[in-house]
Formats: sequence, structure tokens, C-alpha cells
Amino acid sequence: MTEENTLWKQRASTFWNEAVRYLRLIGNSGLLFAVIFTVIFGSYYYSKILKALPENFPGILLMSVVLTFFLVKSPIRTFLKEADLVFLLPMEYRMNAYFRYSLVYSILFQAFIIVLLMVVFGPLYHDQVEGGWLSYPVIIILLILVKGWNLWGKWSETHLPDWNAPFWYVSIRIMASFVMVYLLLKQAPILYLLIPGIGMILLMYFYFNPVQKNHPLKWQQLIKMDQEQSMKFYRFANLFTDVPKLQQSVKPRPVVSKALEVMLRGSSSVHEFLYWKAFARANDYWGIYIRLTVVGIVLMLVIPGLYGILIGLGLIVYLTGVQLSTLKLHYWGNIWLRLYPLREDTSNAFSKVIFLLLAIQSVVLAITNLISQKELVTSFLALFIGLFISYVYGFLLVNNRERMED
Amino acid sequence: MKNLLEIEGLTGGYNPNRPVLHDVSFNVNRGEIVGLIGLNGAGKSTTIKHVLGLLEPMKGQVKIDGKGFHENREDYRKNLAFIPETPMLYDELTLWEHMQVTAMAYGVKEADLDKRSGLLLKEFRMEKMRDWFPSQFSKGMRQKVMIMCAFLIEPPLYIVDEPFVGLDPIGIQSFLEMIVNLKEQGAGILMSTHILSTAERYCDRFVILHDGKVVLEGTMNEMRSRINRPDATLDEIYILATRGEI
Repeated sequence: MTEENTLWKQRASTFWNEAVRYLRLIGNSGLLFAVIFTVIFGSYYYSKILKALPENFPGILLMSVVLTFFLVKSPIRTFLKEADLVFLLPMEYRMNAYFRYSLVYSILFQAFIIVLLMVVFGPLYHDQVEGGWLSYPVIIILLILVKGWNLWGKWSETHLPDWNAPFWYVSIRIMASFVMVYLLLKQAPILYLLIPGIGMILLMYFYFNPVQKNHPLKWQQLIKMDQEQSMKFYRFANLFTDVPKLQQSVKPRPVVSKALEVMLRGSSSVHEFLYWKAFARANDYWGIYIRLTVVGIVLMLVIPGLYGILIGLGLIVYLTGVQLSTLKLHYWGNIWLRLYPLREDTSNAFSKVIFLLLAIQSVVLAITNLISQKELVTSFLALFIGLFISYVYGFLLVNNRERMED
Repeated sequence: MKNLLEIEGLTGGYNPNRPVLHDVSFNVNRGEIVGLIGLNGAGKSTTIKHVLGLLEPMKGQVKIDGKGFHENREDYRKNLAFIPETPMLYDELTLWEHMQVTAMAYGVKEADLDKRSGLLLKEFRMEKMRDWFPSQFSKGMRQKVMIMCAFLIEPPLYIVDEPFVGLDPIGIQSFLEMIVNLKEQGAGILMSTHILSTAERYCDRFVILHDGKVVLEGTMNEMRSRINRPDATLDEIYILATRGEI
């Protein structure tokens, strides 16, 4: 019995050791500052929006839908690995303790998310749901119970073979969870709450539990579910640093590639060639660049006043730089770049690429501003700030990026 | 004329306290194929890494065309092409772009690139895959990309690590024909492999490595007479050598 417990703890701590190292890197990057900035801005506008809400705004319905989504989506963190199919499969009948740990861990972790969600909903909740027999903390506790019920249901569903589509099981969970959440937020009398409550308990005994007894574990599904969760974290971390474990996806993007081809004609720098190709196709660098530029264009259209424009443009260019800087590590450890007979400066090639990208973005944003506000001086200053940040970031700051060593 | 590749008293590896190679010496001349033979862990890959300049010798030296890696890195590397055991491709480049970037790195002129790539794509039946990405390739196709990029450079020296794994029979045939062709034009080829029957037919000389030492070296006939087995095959010689019976 004990060895499965230690195995689970070992797996969990391996993951968290690694996660903490990434989180520390993320904490050190300048982006955290920008996130805090955004949160402060966001909460300011949040309270403004709340005041402006019409009387008949369906706040409870909105909260119920969002909460139901997070309640029903209940992935189970098993920390299983591909190789377990070979090594742990024979031990399946002794793995109960291992999976109990997984379930408890998943409940705790996802309860935290529910609490977080309720904190975010706090102002809206107090605006819409005032005075009732259920207080705010009691509702949170009841929501966590619903979460536990959903995880138990999900655990049963993972026992089902593929042909026995879990679609119906999920539909039942969605309906039950939604009814329960909606009645809770509506402060329905206890008799009404008992109906879905008893229904959920009956489902557990006559639906979930038999499935667990009658079907063996589906290991491949469990492993896939765990990998998806790891990948989610790695993708997030990959915005800040190079994550070696992340399976890179490549998109052909023929139009962008063609444009680059024309632009690169006559260039002889191998590093620049490779960085441009990676920017266009690998890892969604292109998507990040376009998304941030679009956000910048919207900002340029809505922000009034000189300082707002300058800060907005500066922030967008800086954030784009931070997000693109992991591109530098893209060819880290590539054997060919070490074998080529080249006398090239990698850093300089990369700086040129980043500077050019940020400069193009600055020009686009400044022109957008000129068209929308027709203030030549403002646009000119904005362009100047943008190019200045592009230069400083591209040629000086970008070289400070760290790489996570394995 | 100097030897094309000259390895002299090479002691090397990753850890100075535990060298993998001990006093290894052999040459590759212009116009010959030398087979580098040995068990897993005998030191073939380490030898190749030293030749590529990825590892530094602890003792002894490696020279290409009479010059060491440290005398002029660019010239040294311009003189060789490498075909790795496991294909290493750029995920975000198409087949054609792999050839393009190789040509850029080795200063192959555009006209030469067009001519050579056309011939290579045809020879290896990869014309249709010109704009494919590595994720669409099978193991053998990936190996072909490596081979085509190496042949594109047309350097004096080729370092080939286990080229046959994953290649289809026609691909192997094309590869061997081209290697023989290059040899006749004066190139030197150092080829490590486990496919001994093929090596026996195509290599002019052999270097048998065991536990980081050269245990036997020479043409088939030279090796046969060294061990007094006038009709031994390469397989037999190799097994005797690795049992320490030579």
C-alpha cells in the first residue's frame, strides 16, 4: 500500500519542483508587472461597468453558466506517464491509493479555482444576490461539494470505453450542476435545493459507482488527460521562456512565408533567415505578434489624450518584445548552427529581427493614431517612443533572457 | 600530397578522467571510402564528434587537409559535410528551405544550388515533397533530406554516421552510387556502419574500433593476412576483433 502513496507523492513533487522553477522565471520577467497593471485597470473599469448595468441584467444566469462550465470541466491530475502503460499496468488492482490521492489533489486544486472565480465574481454577486438565507461563504462551500460530485462523475466516465460515448454522462452532469448552481444563486428555499441534491446522490449510487465497478481503467485516456494538463502549463510557461518539453507545432502560413521570401531575397545571414522562418511558422510567434498589434490598434482608436497614447503604445511594443524574446532560444542546442562554417554573430542577427518587428509595429500603431485623431505631433511623438523602445529592447534588453536548464 | 583527414594519437571523450578514445590514429585519403566499424559504445560517434570539431582532443590531433580545427574554424568546416545517424531537421523549414539554408551556410552559389538540388531531388524521388515540412516525412525521408543537404555542399570530405537505417532499398542504392561517384571524383568518405556486408562491398579500407582503441586497420586483404584467415568475411573479422582475439 505504502509504495503507491510514495510513488504518487514523488510524481507530484517532481512536477511541482519543475513548475516552481518556471514560475520563478515568470515572476522575474517584466510581464508580471504588466499583469498587475492590467488587473488594477481592469478592476477600475469593472466597478464602473457594474454601476452602469441595467436593472434587468441577467447576472445570475451569467454567473451560473460560467460556474457550471468550470464545475463540469473536471480533469483529474494523475501524473501518469506514457511508460506506466508498461510498468504500472500489471499493478492496476493495487493502485487504489494512488488514484485516491489524484482525486483528492484534483478536488483541492480545482476548489481553489472555484474560490478564485467567486472572488472575481464578488462585486457582481453582491450587486445581484443580496440578502437570502445562504451567505456568500456557504455558497462557496456548496459549490465545492458540487465540484467534488463532478470529479467523481468524471472519474467514472474515464472508465467508459470509447464506444460507450460519455456524451450522455457529461450532459447529465451539465444539467444537474447548472440547476444546482442557479438555484443556489437564486437563494431558493431548501426544499427546492433538495430536489437536485437528492438527484445527484442517487446518480452517484446508481450511475457513477456501477460504471466504476463494471469497467476497467482506461489507462491511455488517463495518460492523455494528464498530458493535456501538463501541456497547458508548459504552453503558458513558454510565453516567458523556452520550454524544452513542449511539443512544438509548426504552421506553414504560405502567405507570410511568401512575403518573407521576397523580403529575404539577397540576404546572406543564415541566422536571420532561420529566425524569420521560425517567427512566421513556429510556436505561434506570428499569432502573438498579430494579436498584440490588433490590441494596440484598438487602444490607439479608443484612448484619448497624449499621455494615454504614449503609454499605450509603449506598453504594447514592450509586451510584444517580451513575448517574442523566447524566439532567441529557438535554435538553442541546434547542431547544424554549430557545424556551419559561419562567422556570424547570433545575438546581432536576432536583435535585428526583433528591432525590425517592433519598429514595423510602432509605425503601424502611429499611423493608426494619425488616421483616428489627426494630431500630427501626438503621432510623431508616439512613433518616436515606439522606435526608441524597439531599439532599446531589441539591441539591449533582449539579451538578458534566461534559459531554463534541464 | 597530405592526407585529407588525419587523426593522430587522438585521446578524447567527454570527461578528462575517463577518456572514451585512447590513442586513435588513422587516415582518410582522397578518393577512398573508409569504413569505421565497432560495437555500440566502441567510440565511433565520439571519433566523429572529434572530427566535426564538437569535442576537443585531450591528446593528439585531428587535421583536415593539413589544418587543425583551431587554425581556422570556417575553412575546416567548409571542407566537410556530415550525415548524422538520427536525422536532425528544422521543424519549421520545408525540404527546399533546408537545401536553401545549407547552400547559404556553405556559400553554394544559387546557380549551383538549382542544378544540384534538381538532380538530388530526382535521384532520391523527393521532387513532390519539395514544399513539405519534416512532420510530414517518414524516418527514411528525413534521412534523405540529410543526405541531400550533405551532397549539395560537395566538400572534399564526407562524414557519414550509419546512413542505411530507415532508408528504402532504392534509397540505399542511390546513396551508394552517389558515394562511389564522389569517390571517383576525388572525395574522401568516412562511414560508420553496422551493415557489414554492404561495408565490405563498398569500403576500400576499414578501421575497427573496440573499447576506444583501433584494433585492426587496412583493406580486406591486409586484415585477413594480419589474422591469418585468408578467406574471412568482414563479419568474421569483426567478431574476432570484438572478442579480443586479435
